[in-house]
Amino acid sequence: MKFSLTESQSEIRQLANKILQEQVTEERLRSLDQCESGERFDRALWQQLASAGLLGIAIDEAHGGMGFDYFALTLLLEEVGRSVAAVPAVASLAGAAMVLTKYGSDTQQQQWLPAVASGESLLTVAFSEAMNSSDLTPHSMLATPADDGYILTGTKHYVPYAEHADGIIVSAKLSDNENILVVVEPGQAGVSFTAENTTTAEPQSALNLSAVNVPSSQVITQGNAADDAIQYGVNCLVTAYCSVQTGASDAALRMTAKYTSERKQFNTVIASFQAVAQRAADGYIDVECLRLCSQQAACLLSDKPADLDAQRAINDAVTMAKIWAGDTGHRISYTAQHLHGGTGVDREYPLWRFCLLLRQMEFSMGSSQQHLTDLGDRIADYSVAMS
Amino acid sequence: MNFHLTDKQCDLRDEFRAYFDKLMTPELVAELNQTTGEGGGPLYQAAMKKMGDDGYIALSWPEQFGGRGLSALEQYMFIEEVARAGFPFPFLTTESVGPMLRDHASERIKQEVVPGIVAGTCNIAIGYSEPDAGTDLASLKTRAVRDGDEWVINGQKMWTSLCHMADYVWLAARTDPDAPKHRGISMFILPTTAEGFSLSPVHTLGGVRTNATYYEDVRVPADALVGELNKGWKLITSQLNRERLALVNVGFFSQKYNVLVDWAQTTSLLDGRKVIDQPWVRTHFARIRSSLEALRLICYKLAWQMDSNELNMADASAAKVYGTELFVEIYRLAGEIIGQHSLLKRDSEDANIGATIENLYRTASIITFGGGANEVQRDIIAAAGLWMPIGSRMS
Ligand SMILES: Cc1cc2nc3c(=O)[nH]c(=O)nc-3n(C[C@H](O)[C@H](O)[C@H](O)COP(=O)(O)OP(=O)(O)OC[C@H]3O[C@@H](n4cnc5c(N)ncnc54)[C@H](O)[C@@H]3O)c2cc1C
Repeated sequence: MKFSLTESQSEIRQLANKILQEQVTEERLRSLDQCESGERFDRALWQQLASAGLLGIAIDEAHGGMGFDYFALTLLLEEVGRSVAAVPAVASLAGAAMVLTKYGSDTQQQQWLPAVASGESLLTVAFSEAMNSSDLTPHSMLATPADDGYILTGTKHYVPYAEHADGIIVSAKLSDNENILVVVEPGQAGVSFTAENTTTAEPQSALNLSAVNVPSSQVITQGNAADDAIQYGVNCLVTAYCSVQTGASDAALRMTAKYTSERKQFNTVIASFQAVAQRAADGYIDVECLRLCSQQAACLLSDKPADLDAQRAINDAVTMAKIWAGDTGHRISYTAQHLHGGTGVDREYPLWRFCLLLRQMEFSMGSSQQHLTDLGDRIADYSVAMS
Repeated sequence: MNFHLTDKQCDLRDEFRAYFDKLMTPELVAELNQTTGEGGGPLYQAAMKKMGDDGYIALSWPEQFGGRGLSALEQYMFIEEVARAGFPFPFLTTESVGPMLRDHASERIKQEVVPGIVAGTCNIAIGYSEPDAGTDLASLKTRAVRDGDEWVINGQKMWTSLCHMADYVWLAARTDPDAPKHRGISMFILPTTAEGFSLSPVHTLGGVRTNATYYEDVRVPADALVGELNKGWKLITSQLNRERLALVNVGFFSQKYNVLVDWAQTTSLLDGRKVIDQPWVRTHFARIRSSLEALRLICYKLAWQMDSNELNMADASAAKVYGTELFVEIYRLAGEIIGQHSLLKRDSEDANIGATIENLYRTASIITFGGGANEVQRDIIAAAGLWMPIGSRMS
């Protein structure tokens, strides 16, 4: 057990924090707020992160990255949450690039990873479907074998930055007991999008595939390996949301502590009212629980699972982290708004974007209740024993 | 960052677990069950003595004092196993009072009392609280006045637990009534055989007995003063963080969770389904499990912070608040899973696993105000963790 960062991890965190805190100013966020719907993407910032090497944290050195693990990447993600930066870090880096790094062919890695690290290409992930539960197994996106590769037909939902992406990792059902994972390029015949306007205004779309021919060179995995890859991708994405949520919760709580320490009513700062201090203290506990569970999930995901038990421990840690992300996000959001009074909802004051982000992370890829249900099923199955 | 125990730590855990598996004979368990788990019976005394003989009592103490110099993390793991086994180990004596006597008492007291603590034969009650000094402990009024080469003690303590079985009281008394309240307190070690000392039982909701203790011109030698005159507050608070960590140890429920899951997996409902086949039961278990996981990590992080001298006061208080309120909540959820059988006490003929919950429920109500009221802990979190000005309420 060790709860400190290594020197290089600290450097990554500091670098990410410095760039994001300096660049993501209130002014910049306001100008992004003016974007047309579906266009809220801070490309200049994304390029700055690329120049600093931060898009390649978890990409192999051979592909132009820094060669650190997934945990190191979550340090960046936490800072993204802390700054409410409008960048596709979760989808492109934590989702797509991690899956390609672990399951992509050499050619696929060569094709995508250097370009992701340099910021030239953007990838995203399409796992969610209407009504597929938090395990995100494909049901309605169907694949049928073709001469070369497969034909895909179906719809995916809530695909982050889909219309900005150069490649979309799509999961599809091949038969009752076989799934595949492929990269679809938006220019391919039969690909179309329906914009989905979200709470935070992050660009998302439904992805409609109508008999799209995916050649075998675009297939990442199939069979058992595809299930592993989907699970790995889902774990990476869910944990990424937890890291973003940690940063955003922490920032919203600290903003609240600062505001209540300055705002006076009844001739005294409102933080000196015990009811106010106690509610903030509960927030501190919530954030700490979320932080620790997220860090644990990120660390375990960086390990290579030795056996079934180890794989289960990873899945369970991720699920538990997301339960905390949902609960903490919800509670912090309302604590922050409540203790700010009217200022908290005024768009002239920065809190509102955090609250929207907390809500979006709470419901993305499974609410607390969905994950509780999953965890409960696993407890019935294999106990999830306490050591 | 690393969330695995080292091999050495795993070995240590295995060793502790095996030790307590052997120590907790069915007879001892039966005796403990009769005493609401507070200990004190003959088999308990024998088990303490055995632990002393085996060198298991002062594990965290440096080797020259008969210990093994465990780190805070290893010590936490030890308590986790003690709690898991359900043995009522006197943590406050071994982790708090003992080290203070060892480091700060006079030679005579060191010779007379400390070896007994390490041997498991000496019981010490803690005399901090008074009828009018609870959360605001520093307002205590029990007086100690110097008379020649003796101290004369007068006053009343409240909630002096285990005192009816104790050899000594570790007593906080006011030695300078004119100094600010935190700076006029000193610590004494007082034999329960001393003239002028008396006690009367206080019976609590949970069935646990505690005591009111009375001090009427009790005389102790000058060297019964422990540490410096009027510097007692520092001694009282020096081990608080370790105490808080012991109070919320995840070991108090980890094995019970495992047993409860096993029960729910194997026990049938009337319609043939198992208890765990009910969706709400699964959600309850998931809540319990994910909350326990956070507690586990909070505690390990705190222990790690202690070892690396990075202890964050807010985190220690966060552990106390979170853990104590979680236990109360978990006992409710567990009771709901078991149903009305969780009202049956252990001595009911058809008692089942619910009897554990019945007992835990009755004895858990003190943890949220004992060991530092949770409101005060939250104030500390707001001040030390979020830099909020909380004003005069903290003094
Ligand atoms: C079974 C049992 C065993 C015990 N064993 C021992 C023992 O062995 N030795 C010993 O010395 N003591 C012992 N105690 C005493 C215990 O430490 C006290 O009960 C505890 O310190 C609380 O004090 P109190 O009961 O006087 O409650 P009070 O101090 O009166 O507090 C009551 C409530 O007031 C509120 N409150 C108090 N202060 C504040 C504040 N600043 N801000 C907001 N709210 C506040 C809180 O809600 C608190 O819970 C024991 C108690 C029990 C019940």
